[in-house]
Amino acid sequence: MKAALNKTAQSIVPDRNLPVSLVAKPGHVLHMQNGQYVTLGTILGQGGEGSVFKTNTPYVAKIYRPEKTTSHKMAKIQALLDKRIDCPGVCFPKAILYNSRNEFVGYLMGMVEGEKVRSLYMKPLFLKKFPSWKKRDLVELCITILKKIGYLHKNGIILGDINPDNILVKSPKDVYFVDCDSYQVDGYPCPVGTIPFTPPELQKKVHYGSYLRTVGNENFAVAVLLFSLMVTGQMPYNQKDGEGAQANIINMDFSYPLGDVSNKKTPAGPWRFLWSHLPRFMKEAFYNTFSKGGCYSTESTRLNSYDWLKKFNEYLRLLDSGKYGAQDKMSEEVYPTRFKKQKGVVYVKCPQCNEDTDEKYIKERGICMECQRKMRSRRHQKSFEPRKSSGYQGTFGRTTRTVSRATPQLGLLDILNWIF
Amino acid sequence: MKNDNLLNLEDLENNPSSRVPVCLVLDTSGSMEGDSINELNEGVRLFYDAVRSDETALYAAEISVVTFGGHASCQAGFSTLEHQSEAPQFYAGGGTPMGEAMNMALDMLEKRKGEYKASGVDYYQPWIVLMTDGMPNGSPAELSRSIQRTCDMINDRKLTIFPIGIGEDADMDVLARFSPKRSPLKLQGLNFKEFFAWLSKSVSKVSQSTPGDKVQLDVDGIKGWAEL
Repeated sequence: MKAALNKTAQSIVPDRNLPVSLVAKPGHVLHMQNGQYVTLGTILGQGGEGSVFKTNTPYVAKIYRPEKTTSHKMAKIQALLDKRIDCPGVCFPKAILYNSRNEFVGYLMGMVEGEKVRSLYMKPLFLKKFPSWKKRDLVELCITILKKIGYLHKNGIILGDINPDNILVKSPKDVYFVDCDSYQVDGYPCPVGTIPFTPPELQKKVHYGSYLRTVGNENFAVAVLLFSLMVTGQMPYNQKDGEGAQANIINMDFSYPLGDVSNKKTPAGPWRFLWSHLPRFMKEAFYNTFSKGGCYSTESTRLNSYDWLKKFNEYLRLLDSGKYGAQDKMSEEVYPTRFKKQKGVVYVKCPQCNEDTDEKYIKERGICMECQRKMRSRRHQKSFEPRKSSGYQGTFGRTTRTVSRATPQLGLLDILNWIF
Repeated sequence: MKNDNLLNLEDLENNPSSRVPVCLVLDTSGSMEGDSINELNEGVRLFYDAVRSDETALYAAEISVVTFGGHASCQAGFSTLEHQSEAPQFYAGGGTPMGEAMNMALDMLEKRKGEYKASGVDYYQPWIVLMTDGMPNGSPAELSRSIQRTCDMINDRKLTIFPIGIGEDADMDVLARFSPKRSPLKLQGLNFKEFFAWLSKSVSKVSQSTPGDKVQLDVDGIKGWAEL
């Protein structure tokens, strides 16, 4: 494995466009290599790369925009077909599709259902889409996702661009991976990626498509995804009063504490509670993955999907047996509203917010730590003055999808300037 | 306003979605009286409705509105539409203090960016939409200060501006001074509705991208509102 780690994609013929002279429309008849015909139905959805059509088969057709068909895409789809692997929920290509002029236009794939992981990131949307979910459902979802990723890795496939838009969730056990045509297969690199899911060792590389990713690289993205589902909606390197996400990833400045060790930059809000309710062994795993010097913090030492799977299975067992809830019932909820209860502490209700809180704190201060914090932040707000422009540029500069470092923002008028 | 601020700070704590800050800086001077102001009102209302109906944009886009008609006035501070009731209603009247309005928008943006940073919330590169049907007649010093600030931010890749002229009398030269990298566009007739429909789609696209994504805006859609 190690030998293949940092080889470039040079052994592969560079990607080139495969022009398509006919724009696909509902009603068009396409064909597969074996001569079978497929008729396009209505458009189900449109994205940057193309459209997904219903067909007269049980499958749907992903048809690229005419300028998006490339030799690498076709070769990758062929490679995925040649591997003859199958994994429920992973929307592998079923056949390459050609138009009446025999031009490669897209591929046939299984139907998908569900909500993007992105909608789990937004609390109001999460509560609307999955109102009955408990923590165990999120843990089971992670297990489902990890099993699929583990299967792909075992078969020499790197997803490359793991992100909240290409995993769809129908239920904790029913998950769909889409956009599989960007996967890294047989030496064909994955041409896309995003900053929050890119490991520190690759942040400075220029084009996502210019190198091959390793399983070790991808294990970082896997950990980020798991973290964002457990601390639901947060990224490990978002931090208050800190640097931008990219700088934090490069510095491995993880924003959540382990025991007494903390960078004190945990984002404000309930995220600290979500983190606090994780079992110690989960916190240790995340902390050691995301913190500089952590025992799982490098390309070669990161936990792989099977390591994580073991931990999540254990977590699910603790939750489903009731053992974890016996310690603190709130640990079973997706959005706890206070820190996890500690052994040996007497809890009473805070007179202000009515949450269980350390009796000692109430005796000293009259209200709980969280109410105290909110009062402080309100006082701070009253005296808040706009900062003078610093070097800070948001947690990310907008960068192009294929470029991992900040590049000039591409606005509407740039696009116009290119066209006219 | 104080309570709004508190609400907006609490929203940053409770909703970690990466924000898309958008500020509409709109000319509501006397010359906008009549069909122009009516169409502008209708366009902004439609924009609010469209962003609200997109469940991702609803929690990600933070819309603010500054008008300049007589004086610069903040009609809505940066917040998601979850926390704004209805689109503000504009009335035409007074002069065209464009520089004062742009400075107000930039101040609001700086303040909100400070709050994002303090709370640990990511944000996309902010957008300012600047629309006018005339030429600025506020303080020349404020105008040049606002142009300088805007250009500095654009050159530092901290801002995207959409400068749009309305009608024959729009000062396209001053709009161009706000936009060092590219030319301003002229609205086709009073196609405010088409413009704001396009803007809401673009905001939705950005809010559904992941930080770092290149977002492809609907170029064909521009033909529906711009004179090209």
